[in-house]
Amino acid sequence: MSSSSKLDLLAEALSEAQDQLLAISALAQTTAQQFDLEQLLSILVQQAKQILNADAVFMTVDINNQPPLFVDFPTNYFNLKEIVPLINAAHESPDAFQVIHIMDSVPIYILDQKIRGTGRIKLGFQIDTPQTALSPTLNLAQTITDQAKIQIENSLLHKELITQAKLQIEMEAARQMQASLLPKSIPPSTETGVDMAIHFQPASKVGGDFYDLKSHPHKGAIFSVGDISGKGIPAALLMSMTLNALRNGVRFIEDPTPKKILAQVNQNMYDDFTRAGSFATVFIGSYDAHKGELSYGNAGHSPVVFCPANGDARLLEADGTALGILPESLCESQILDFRPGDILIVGTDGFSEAENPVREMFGYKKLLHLVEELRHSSAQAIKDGFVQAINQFASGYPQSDDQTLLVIKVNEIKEINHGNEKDRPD
Amino acid sequence: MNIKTLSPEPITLIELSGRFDAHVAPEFLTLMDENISIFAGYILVDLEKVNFIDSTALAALVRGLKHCRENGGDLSLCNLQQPVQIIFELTRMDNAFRIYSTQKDAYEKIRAK
Repeated sequence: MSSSSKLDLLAEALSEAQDQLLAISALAQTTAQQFDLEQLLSILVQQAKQILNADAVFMTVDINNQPPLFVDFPTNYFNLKEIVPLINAAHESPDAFQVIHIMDSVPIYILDQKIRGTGRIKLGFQIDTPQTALSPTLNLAQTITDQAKIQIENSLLHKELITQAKLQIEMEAARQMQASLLPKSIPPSTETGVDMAIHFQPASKVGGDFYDLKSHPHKGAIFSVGDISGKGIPAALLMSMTLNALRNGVRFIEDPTPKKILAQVNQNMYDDFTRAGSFATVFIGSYDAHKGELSYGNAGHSPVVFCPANGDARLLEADGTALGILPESLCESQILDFRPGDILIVGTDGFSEAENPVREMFGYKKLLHLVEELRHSSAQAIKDGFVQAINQFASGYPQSDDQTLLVIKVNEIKEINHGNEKDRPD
Repeated sequence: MNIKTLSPEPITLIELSGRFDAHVAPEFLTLMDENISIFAGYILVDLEKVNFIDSTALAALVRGLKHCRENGGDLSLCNLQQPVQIIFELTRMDNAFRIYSTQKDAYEKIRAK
């Protein structure tokens, strides 16, 4: 061959190679925004037929969570009954592709490659070219398959992102719903005779902690704090039932005492808690401003810290076990003097069990010291002090349990307003 | 944590050690479920080597307790160490479980039934 003929051949080959590169690039661009898997494959097989100069092309994708897909171009060119056994019999090699099969007079070549761990992607094309002359075409086929893998991965990731985003939206809606079940505001101390502050922070969007606060007509205040064992959605579902049962107890029991209320809630919820494999610790208190007394019931709940105005802080122990464990609640109503300057703190164990990076727990002793240090501050300031102390202690270690803290401090001046009534001390 | 199953009939003994917390609780629950069907549902959990227990672990024990009782058996505890004893008293979990000081004590009382 003369030099100029050789040059012409080279020039032609170069031009062809350039065309193919452009075609591959066009393929990449066309498929880049196509997130629907089946449509993606349709575009791929169409363009592959052109690039490879084949009679027909098919692609199959078989991934774990999806039904296997088969797409060909021209559409329905291949007889599924004939081709599927061939596809299934195609040898699976761990990394690179292999030319697999030849069928009829015009050969069909199948490239088989893994995708996403145990998934397989196969590209098959029918072309009237002997295998010996097929090398450049196979290279192209490999490039197309590589491109296909990338786009398929994008398509799957896209779907997963959307599912995640939907889930986040639902969780946020659930969080708002759960928050709406809780008191909208703290009853003013002019009505209750006590200064109250609350901190409520589930570990994830929703959780198993709850609290309730209300002023008790002509008396003072009724409040409760509870903790359903577990976290997240299961605990949240039981939380709303338990909170509801408690509120009903307060409203509808004749002459409600903590003992009666806890007994009734236990009775109502026992079967549900047993089925769910869960239980609820609950502290319920009723403050009587006239008597200067707190009547309370503690079903397995801690930490509960009582700090008298002029004494040492101590833990109030539960007198009965948590609700949902025994068929009958054994809790009794307890009475405690609750005078000006006295402080009651009811938390959930997300506080006492909060961990720092070396897995130490915050513990009860620190809680007692802290309230003694802060005893002259307002309920709000005490609450803020506790939250700050826990955050400092945890120093970035993730919160693993729901954290709730209710701080109640008896006002220095006892004066209770009931709307238009004024009840002045003598 | 180390779960050891010895089975002198009619009681299954589970010995735990280390931290009994949210990481360990699921394994514990599975172990108990497997053993309830073999014996008449009497399980003794020895907590001698347990230095820490959290609310998830307590919930696991409660589940085990109810399971056993539904199957005509019971779940008891023995050898509680001080940190764990404190938590049981604070939360009155000692009302819910039968707690023995030693394994021997537990065997005698349970066998007597």
